Amino acid sequence: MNRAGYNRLKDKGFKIVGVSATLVGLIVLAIFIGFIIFMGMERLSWDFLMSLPSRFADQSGIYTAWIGTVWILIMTTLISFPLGVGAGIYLEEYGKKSKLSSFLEINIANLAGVPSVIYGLLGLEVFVRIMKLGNSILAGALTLSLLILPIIIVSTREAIRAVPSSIRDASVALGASKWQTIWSQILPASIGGILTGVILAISRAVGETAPLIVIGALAYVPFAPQSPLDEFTVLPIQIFNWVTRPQHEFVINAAAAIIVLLLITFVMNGIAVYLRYRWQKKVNW
Amino acid sequence: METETQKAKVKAVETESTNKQAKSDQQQFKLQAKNIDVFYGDFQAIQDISLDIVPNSVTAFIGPSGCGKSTFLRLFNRMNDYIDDFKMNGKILLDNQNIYTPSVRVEELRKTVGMVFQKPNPFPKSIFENVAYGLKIQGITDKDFIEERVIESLKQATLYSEVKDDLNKQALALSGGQQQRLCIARALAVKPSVLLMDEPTSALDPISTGKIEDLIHELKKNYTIVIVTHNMQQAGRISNRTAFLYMGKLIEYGETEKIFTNPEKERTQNYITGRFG
Amino acid sequence: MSHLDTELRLLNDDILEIMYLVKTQLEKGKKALITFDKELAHDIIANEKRVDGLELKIDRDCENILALFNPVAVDLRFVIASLKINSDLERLGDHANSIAKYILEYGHAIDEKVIKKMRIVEMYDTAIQMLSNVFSAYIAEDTEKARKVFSKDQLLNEINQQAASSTAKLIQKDPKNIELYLYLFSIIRKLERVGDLTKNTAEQLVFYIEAKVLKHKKLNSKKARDQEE
Repeated sequence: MNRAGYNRLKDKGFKIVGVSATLVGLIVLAIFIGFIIFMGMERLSWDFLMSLPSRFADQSGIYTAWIGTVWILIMTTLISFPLGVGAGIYLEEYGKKSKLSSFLEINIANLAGVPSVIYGLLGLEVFVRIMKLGNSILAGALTLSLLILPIIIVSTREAIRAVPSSIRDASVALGASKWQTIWSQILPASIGGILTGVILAISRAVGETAPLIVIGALAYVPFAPQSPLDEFTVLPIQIFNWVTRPQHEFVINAAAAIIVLLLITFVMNGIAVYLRYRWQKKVNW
Repeated sequence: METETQKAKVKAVETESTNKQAKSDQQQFKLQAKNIDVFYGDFQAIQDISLDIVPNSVTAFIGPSGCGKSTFLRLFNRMNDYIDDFKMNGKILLDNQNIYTPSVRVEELRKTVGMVFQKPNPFPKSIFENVAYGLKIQGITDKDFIEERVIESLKQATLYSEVKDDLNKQALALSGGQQQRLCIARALAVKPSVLLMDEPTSALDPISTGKIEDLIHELKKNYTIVIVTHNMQQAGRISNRTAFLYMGKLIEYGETEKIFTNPEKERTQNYITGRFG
Repeated sequence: MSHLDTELRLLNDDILEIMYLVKTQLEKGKKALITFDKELAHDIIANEKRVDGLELKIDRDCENILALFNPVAVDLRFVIASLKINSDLERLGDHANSIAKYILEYGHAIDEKVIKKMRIVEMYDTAIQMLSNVFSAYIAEDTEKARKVFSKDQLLNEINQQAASSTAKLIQKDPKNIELYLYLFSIIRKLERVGDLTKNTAEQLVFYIEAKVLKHKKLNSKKARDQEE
């Protein structure tokens, strides 16, 4: 056949491949979620949410786990947000462009790829032992902050870079100082991107298991933590713990806990999408 | 002996009056550039340019692309400071003061020397907020004062009648020509004495261009305007004096009428008649 | 009003000024001739400098407008017309100046009857009337009024054509005053030129307003063409 016909065939072929790939991904995801829901749906109840874990599957609940998750969420956010955004602003706005700064940029990005268990080890030595924080929420939050800091820094820098330099020029030409320009123009314009990055990073932190296990988050915690220095557990650990038990009921508990964890994750991502949408409307370069 | 002291006295008075004369000659110029060289790393962008800007007039810089006009313009409000390997020799004087000394605060300088850019760059905020920005960063909080100044500036920029119904409208929703006039109002709000314009109409349609040229013609009564333009006819229409730059050098500088009817240098004539560049 | 409009307005005012100036020169000339007013004649010669100065200014302003504003359409025609009108009126002024010089050179009072007999008074009146018409046509931008000038010019041409033979007759009758008749003959020639230059000015006015080129056309065919349109 002629060239045009051949091209059209290629077009069609590519379309089919693309659609198939998407469908495969979606179908697999749907199967997994459907399976989990099917397994755990019946176990979900107010009791389940408010009960402490126990040796008996039908009495076990995720109270301490999701309280722990919320604590970790809040503490990690409080620590990593100002640190990460601040570092991102500093590196992007005040850093001099030199070989050192490019080196730094590459390495920060690399840090995001380091296995999270390594952060756990770091946290164990520095926060738990040297700083004597023990197996506390604070130690866990600090460790997770370290983990997600590179992500926040990188996304902050990207968001700031996306602000056109013409805005910077205009602000500076009116006599604004560097900080005024950042505070009044750059940050408001990039906050959408920054927040999206922060929320996605924290969503990841919410699902981390390995580093928290390493720093000593327990699997069996019969009480809800009252302060940052208390011991704790989180949903992923609880899930992990239940999945390894032989009784089938615990597996169902795990499924129910997974649903809760998924819900939390979806809500976090939903907020990110919403914020991005809201800020994107205003800022139309 | 007496004649000696008398002679000395006469000489003293004479020198004083020549000094005064020299000073008043200098004071006539709003901005002065003296023997300016500009380097970006090894590349020399400007070679030994000296010129004087007359107050309350329009001075245009023309020349082919890349000849250094924008670089030279940005010397007057130190916008080149942000470029990494920028180096400059020579002096730039504003009202007889060198603006490149460490004692000069760049933020203060830019309140006197405002700038309008080629592509309209309003902030992604409301019309009101855009014009008020320059005042707010100075720490002015008096709401009435700010409102008065915003309206005055919008009127000066001949934009007020078109936007007065809704000053809270988003600036980015305005048309290109309106956005540029907004940027002019924004620059005027801090009451500068000099307005630098870097190809302000090259991104606009002819009608908007005409409106802004009329605006500049009005503004020059009260402001010293320096404009870079790649459109020679525009320089002819609105400027009082024109400087022709080529490859970083100043080829000719004089009254616009002279440059366009009888330039002294052949290169100037070739450029003006469109025979090159 | 834009910058260009301001410049065109100023140019318009200058053209009116030079028009008014040379009209006054003519009027003074008529009076100086009839009443032999030496002072008035000197006045005319002194004013010639003003006319020349104004001509130079108008030329320079036209050049600047063309160079700086690249005018088109009616604006361009206006500037071109102004350049030509300027040149014609300056020459008109020159002629008035020459007549004043003749008056002084001859140095004697002239009998008004002779002047009338040679129809010089008629010529003067016609020429001044023509200039007045052009002046008001220019102010009102009225091309009808401008066209009226063409027929008046006929009279001046007529008198001029007969001037040689009628002057010759007068000289034969009165040879003593040949010098006088020669001067008066020259004045007739000058006044005919004045009429031509005024007609040119009217043509330029029609050109700039209607973009119609009327020069070098004969009156009859012009009328026919006008009627066609």
